[in-house]
Formats: sequence, C-alpha cells, structure tokens
Amino acid sequence: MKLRTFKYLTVEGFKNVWVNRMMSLASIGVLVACMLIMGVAIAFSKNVDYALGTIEENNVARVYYDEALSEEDARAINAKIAEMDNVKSVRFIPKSEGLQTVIDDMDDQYSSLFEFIEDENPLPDATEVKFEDLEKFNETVTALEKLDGVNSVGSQRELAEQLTSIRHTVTVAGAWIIVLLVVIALVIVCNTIRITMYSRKLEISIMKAVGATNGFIRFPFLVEGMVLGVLAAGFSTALTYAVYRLILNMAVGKLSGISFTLLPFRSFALPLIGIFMFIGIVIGLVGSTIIITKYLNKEGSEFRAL
Amino acid sequence: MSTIEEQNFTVNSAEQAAADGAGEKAVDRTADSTAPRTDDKPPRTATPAGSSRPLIEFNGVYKTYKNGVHAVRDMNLKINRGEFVFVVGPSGAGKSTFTKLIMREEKLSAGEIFINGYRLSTIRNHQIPLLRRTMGLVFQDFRLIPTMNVFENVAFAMHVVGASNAEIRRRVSYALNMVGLAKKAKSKPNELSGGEQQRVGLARALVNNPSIIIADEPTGNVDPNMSYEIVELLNEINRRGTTVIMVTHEHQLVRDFHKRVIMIDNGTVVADSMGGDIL
Repeated sequence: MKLRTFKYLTVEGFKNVWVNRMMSLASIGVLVACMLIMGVAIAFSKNVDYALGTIEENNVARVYYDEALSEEDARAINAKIAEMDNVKSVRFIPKSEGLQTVIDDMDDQYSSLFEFIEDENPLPDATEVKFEDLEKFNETVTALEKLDGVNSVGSQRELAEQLTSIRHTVTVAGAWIIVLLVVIALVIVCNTIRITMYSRKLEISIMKAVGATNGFIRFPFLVEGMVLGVLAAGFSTALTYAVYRLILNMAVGKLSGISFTLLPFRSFALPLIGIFMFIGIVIGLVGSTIIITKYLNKEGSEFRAL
Repeated sequence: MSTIEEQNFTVNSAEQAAADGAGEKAVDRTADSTAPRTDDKPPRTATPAGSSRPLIEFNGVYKTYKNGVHAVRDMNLKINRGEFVFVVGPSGAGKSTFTKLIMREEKLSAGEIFINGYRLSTIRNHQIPLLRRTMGLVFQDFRLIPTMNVFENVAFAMHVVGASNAEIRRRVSYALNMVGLAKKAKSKPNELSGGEQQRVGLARALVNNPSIIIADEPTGNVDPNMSYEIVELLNEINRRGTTVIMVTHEHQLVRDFHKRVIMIDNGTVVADSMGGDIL
C-alpha cells in the first residue's frame, strides 16, 4: 500500500468514528461495560492473591532436629536445607532462643516456673523454613523429613492446601470471567460494526465499482475498530479506578475491625491498562475483520445492493 | 462484427456443455485468436489500441443464477475499441446480467469473456479490482454519496486507485469541466437536479481515464431534455477515444444518435446493427 493511501485510509478510519458517533458510542459503551467487570475481577483476584501471599509469608514449617545433635551439626543441616529446592529462606533457632520464645509467650506467673530449667532445656534446635511455592508444600516437607538428623517437621499442611485451592479457584474463575466477557464484547462489537458497515453499503459498493481492493475497503474499518478499542480501554481504566476508589473507601469504613489491607490501585494499574488495551484493540480488529470479510466475500449484486 | 450465431444447443445440452466442456471450449477459442493473451499483463498494454483483439468479446456465454434462472444463454458478441454501442431489449431480457458479467459482478457459468486483456473465466480475485479500474460505471440511480460534495464524490474514485492529491485536483477539475459542473464542485448531491447528479456520476466514471464506460440506464431517472444531454456527453467522451456501452430502453434516444445497437432478448443477442432501424 502506498504511503498516501495508508494516510488517507487512516484519516478515513478516524473520520468514520466521528461520523458514526452514535454507533461508536454504543460500541465503546459495551466494551467499557465488559472491561469494567473485567477490571473489578482482576482487582479482586489481585487482592486475593495479595492477601493469600501475606498469609503464605507466615505459613512456615519448623524443622526440629534430633535432641542428641550438637548445635554445629544442626547448623550444618540448616545450611543444607537452605540450598534445597523450593526453600525461600531459613532461620536457625537455637534451643535457647526457642525456650525464650516459649517463656515470652507465657504470662509472667507461669514464665517464672521455667526459669530454673534453663540448664536443662528440653527443646531441640530448630529451623524455620519458608517456601517459594505452596503447591509443592507436601513434597518439600517430605524431603525435609527424610534428612538425617531431622526428628520431625511441624507444619500447617491443611492451611497450605486450602490456600493453594483458593488461589486456584480465584485464578480459574477470573480467567473464565475474562474469556466470557471477551466473547460477549466481541459478539456485540461485531453487531455494532455490522450496522455501521451496512450504513456505508453505498460507499462500499461504489468503492468496489471503481476498482477498490478488499484491503482498501477493509482498512478504514480496522482503524475504526482499533480506535474504538483504545478509547474503550482508556475509559475503562478511568472507570475501574473510580470504582476501585469507592470500594477502597467503603472497605476502610466498614472493615476497620478486621486487619485487612487492600492493594493500592497503582500497584496493578499498568498490567490492567495493558490488558484493557490488548483486549480493546484485539476485539476491535477481530470484530471488524470478521464482519467486513464476511460482507466482502458474499457473492452477487455487489454494486447494486442497497 | 458478430451477428446472431446458429444455436446448435438446446438449453439442456448447453447446460451439459457448461458442466463438462466449458474449459475446453474457452481454450479452443483462445487458440484460434491471433494475439497471445496473458492474464498477468496490465490491460492497457495487453491489448494495445488497434490490435485485432476486440476490447470486449463474448464467446458462447451462459449465466444461470442459483435460483435456476437462465439469464444469459449462448451470448456471442464483439465490441471494438472506440465504439459507441447501445444495448437495448425488453426488461428481463438479460441486459443487467450482461453488464454485471462485464464488470465481473457476476461470474459467468460457461463460455468465455475477454475484456481489455482479462479472461474472465479464470480471472483471479486480486485481479478483479484491476479489471474494474479499466472501466467507468454509470448507474441509473447516480450512486453519489450524500455526505460528500461534488468534488469529493469524484475524487473518491481516485483515492481508491491511490492517486496523489495533485493528480486528484487536476483530474477532478478536468472531469467536472468536461461535464459542465466546475462551478458546482462544492454543492452536495441533494442540491443538484437529476441531470446534474448524473453528470457527476459521469465525471466520476471518467476521472480515472477508463478505456470503457458502461452506463446502465443512465437516463432512467433524468427528465427527457436532460437525457439527451447525458447521451451527448457520452458521445463526446466516446469521440475522445473511450469505448461507451449504454444500456437503455429509451428507443427515441437510440434512433437520434445513430450508433451501433445490440438487441438482447431472452438472454441472447437477437439483433446487432448500425442505427436504430432494428427498433
């Protein structure tokens, strides 16, 4: 395509958005509605993710060493654990520190009872292990249990499993919501483009009569679809931000009793805009391509049909 | 010049031929021709002016629509470069199908059509726009875009072929001058009379300097005085070297202009002569 034809058609595409502004508005409205739901779904899943992450951070396994083991040997095993797969960090807890924690956690009246046993500390040395990926929780714990010198591993296996399954559910549900909304948006945008196209049947028939290639006829529609997609993405981002602010304010007011923090919008704004832009442009392009190609390939009476 | 050919087929056997031997038939006829023909060459060089190959050639053409209507049966005709031809015939005779076949708006069912160096039975989809750029089409209902002014309506046809803005200004002014509408370049179609609108249509058809102008009932929506003017304009365009095919049912016009007349009835050419004496 010649550069001037490219320019001419691009300008035509932008013009079409304005000339058919009611239809453009309808398309953008539908896209924004779908993207807004998507945006809320994404914000929700991001927050669940974040909340789960916080809980996971604290979900540690504690490795207890054999009582007979010297502290040096225990530290050696501790170093080995740190090298293992899926281990994010380790913290060695000597038995003295362990006892101190136990004593600190108690009420004063009881803690005094323990002071005398300091020489005969009944606790073993231990290592606190944090994991990279909770999905591999079981395997890692099993591996830890098999290590020489390890007596037992204390863990909240069930909690880990629950967290993993919640995350799964949220991810899968989020993906389905997005897929469903993309399909709905595509169908509705297709219909809107179909209507704009039929309103320009005369132009298309004249273009064909004077020897326009299909690419030439299609191009302004593609530009139009893309412009609609980008505009919709912009509006959606702004609207999602507004809705999120609203929820944020309400959450602070109503949930103040519970220690529950929501992510700030900016922490996921960029990926959100990216997803919106991508979906908007793809829906705009795919929608116009489907409709116009279907129309152009229809046989017969192409000049005279009105 | 072709006249009515002996019809050896009944309609049924012709359909058989359409199904079985269409390709062969076309090949035979090409082999007979003197000028070699390739589909890939640009049309204006493929058939230089004055060559023995007619600009438009119909060889045993059949067109059967999906609903079973045989719109064109065994049509044979030749139109040479520079001719002015009236195509007449009763409604439903196949005149519309005839123009649609030339524009490749419809595919032929059997036989062969050569236009401007293109062989329509085997033309590729990407070549169809190129074929159409060698023709200018004038419609009965003008087909002007109501939101564009006269200049833009004509310029539109040039944007399609990727002309530069300078070229567009030059050619559109020339075309509007030729049809006598230079002063109305900024008017919208609904501010013009029927005759003026059709002249815009004519300007649009000739702005890309086509070798053929096909006018399908161009005077159908124009009052009688203006009709004469429209045909006079087509005649002028023809004098400057463009082949003109005008489909019409206004016999008085045909008689007045004394040109070649092809009469179509029942999907085939029933008469072909100079002047309006066959009417």
